[in-house]
Amino acid sequence: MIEIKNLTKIYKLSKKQQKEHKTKDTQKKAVDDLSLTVDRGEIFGLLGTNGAGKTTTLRCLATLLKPTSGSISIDGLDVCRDSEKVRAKISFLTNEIKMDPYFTPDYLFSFFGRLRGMDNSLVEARKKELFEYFGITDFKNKKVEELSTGMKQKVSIAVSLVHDPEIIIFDEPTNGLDIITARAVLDYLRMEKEQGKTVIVSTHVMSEAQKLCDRIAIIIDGRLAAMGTLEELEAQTQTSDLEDAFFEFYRQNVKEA
Amino acid sequence: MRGLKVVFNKEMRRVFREPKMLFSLFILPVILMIGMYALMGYLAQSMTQDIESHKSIVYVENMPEEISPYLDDFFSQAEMTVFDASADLDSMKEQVAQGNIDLIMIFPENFMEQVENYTEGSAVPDIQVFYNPSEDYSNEAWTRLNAALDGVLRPSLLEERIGDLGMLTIFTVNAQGGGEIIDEQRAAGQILSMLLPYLITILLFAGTMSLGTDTITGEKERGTMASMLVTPVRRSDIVLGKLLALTCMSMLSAVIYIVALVIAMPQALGTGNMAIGFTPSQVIMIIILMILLAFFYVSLVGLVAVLAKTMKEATTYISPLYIIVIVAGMITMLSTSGGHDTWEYVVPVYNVSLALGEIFTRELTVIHFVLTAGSTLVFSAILSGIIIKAFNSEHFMFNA
Repeated sequence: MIEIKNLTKIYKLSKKQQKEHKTKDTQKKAVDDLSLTVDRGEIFGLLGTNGAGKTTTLRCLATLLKPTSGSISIDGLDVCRDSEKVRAKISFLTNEIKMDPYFTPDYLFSFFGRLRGMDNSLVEARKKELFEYFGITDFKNKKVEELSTGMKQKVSIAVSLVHDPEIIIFDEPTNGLDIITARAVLDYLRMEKEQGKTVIVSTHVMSEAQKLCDRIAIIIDGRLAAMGTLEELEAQTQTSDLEDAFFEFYRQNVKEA
Repeated sequence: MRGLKVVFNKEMRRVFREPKMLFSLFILPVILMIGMYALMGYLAQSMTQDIESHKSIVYVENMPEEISPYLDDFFSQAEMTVFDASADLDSMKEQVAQGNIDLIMIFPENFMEQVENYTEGSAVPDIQVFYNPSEDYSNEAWTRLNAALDGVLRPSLLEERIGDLGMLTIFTVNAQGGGEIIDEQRAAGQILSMLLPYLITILLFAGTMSLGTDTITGEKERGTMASMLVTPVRRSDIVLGKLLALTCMSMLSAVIYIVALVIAMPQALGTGNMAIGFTPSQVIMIIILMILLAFFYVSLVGLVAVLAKTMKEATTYISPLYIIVIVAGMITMLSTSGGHDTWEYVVPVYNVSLALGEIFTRELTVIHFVLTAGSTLVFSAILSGIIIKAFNSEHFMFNA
């Protein structure tokens, strides 16, 4: 079980960043007092516009960023104190994490397997399975720099799953993928769920969230605007699809602000 | 430790599986260096040849005919122009300054009479010579003329005056030649002790610079570092794996470079063999110091690389460091041997350069060696510790 309690993350803004964001504030509150729990074996979606704080939340979950305040625990492990143990349990994919362009998918998969302490036969078995599932086998010996965006994304996904993680945290996993591969990724996540794995995905694609997620949290300006199953969110807003529900929540929250 | 080994292997593979990297790291510097020295040797040689084959342009006034046979050697390689008192001496001097005339020689009127009629206490005739020491041709003409006047003309005139030159010579020194006894190993050691410590100190750094920024800042910038940071491997394993791989590579590139230098430079420069015999303990000390210095550089570059946000920023910070390293190496090259204070052996970079020089001349004491090695190791450990701290900081790793 994943428990996020009162998570707040504040970034300090450098002079350059202040200019970029056209603000005079020296800091930016990316996530603001966010609390939620994700149960084992469910697919949980974070839905929000760009810059809403989804990626920051997930990076905190993945132990890459430390919360400014609040706490996150994963199966009872604190992400700050037990970060190495947490990293052993999870898989984290975000578009800012890239595969080394100078190596082949084949080598990178083995490298990350070894880095996670797996023995060679297990790595090879996982490689065969995942490379075939995501259609990587054909280009597994090409250097990453020669691959297309979609191919790279497939490799990133496969590599992130090398250790058969209990918890999968994917930040916009279908970004850059063609419709067939995107479907394959979503199917894979469903398959993992059936095997009792926990999946957290962030997305701004409504249809994806609608079809995939058991529960959805809508995040607006770093704050939790709503949380529940698709049906609950629609009922709260008296709408009949997620996109309409999202706009309703967005309208309410932005108006309040 | 497991992670360290895996990261180390990946870093090594990155270089050794990439022909471009291999070439730029190990082969190109050697080609450039040998080419540069070969060119320098060729230019120096052709310059000497050019000067030697040049016919000096000489202006002469009042030269007595009797003495011209004595100066045959000189005038055979000169184009002589005779002038008289009506000529404009100042404008001729101006020509010397500009390098158009190599030498002006003015004998006093009735030079021979003055020489022949000399009596004790009368004035000694003076030959005036004008030349330009900053012009190679003029300088060479002056050297040759001087040799002819001193070595041929004066002894001949003296002999005419007093008959037996032995009267004046009293004794000679090494008239048969062959007085020089050189310990070639020590002489070679002195050239090496000046050159090699300097080269080792800067070459190790040069090998580290580009690779170090690429493997740390480059990986941060490309987003590939994060892929390692989400694995359960300890950050210290990632850092040390990278630093050790870099140390090996900068050692290797420096060793290849130095071997090439010792073999190729004498040939390129056209000088004799510079081969030198080392005792096993010397070799061990040199290797230990090189490894420690390489590790120190790697930690230094690594620290800059981890603090820098972009490759451009890293390169900007590292250039001044490179200049400091070059200066530290140069100080030891220029300083005289012996008599260094103990504190000098704990100044990073400088101490290793100093100690290496003293190994070649067999002057390094055990205490100074231990101080040098120990302090370099301590500095490196401190720097590595800071890098590991930075690797744990989201600010430096993710610009957050």
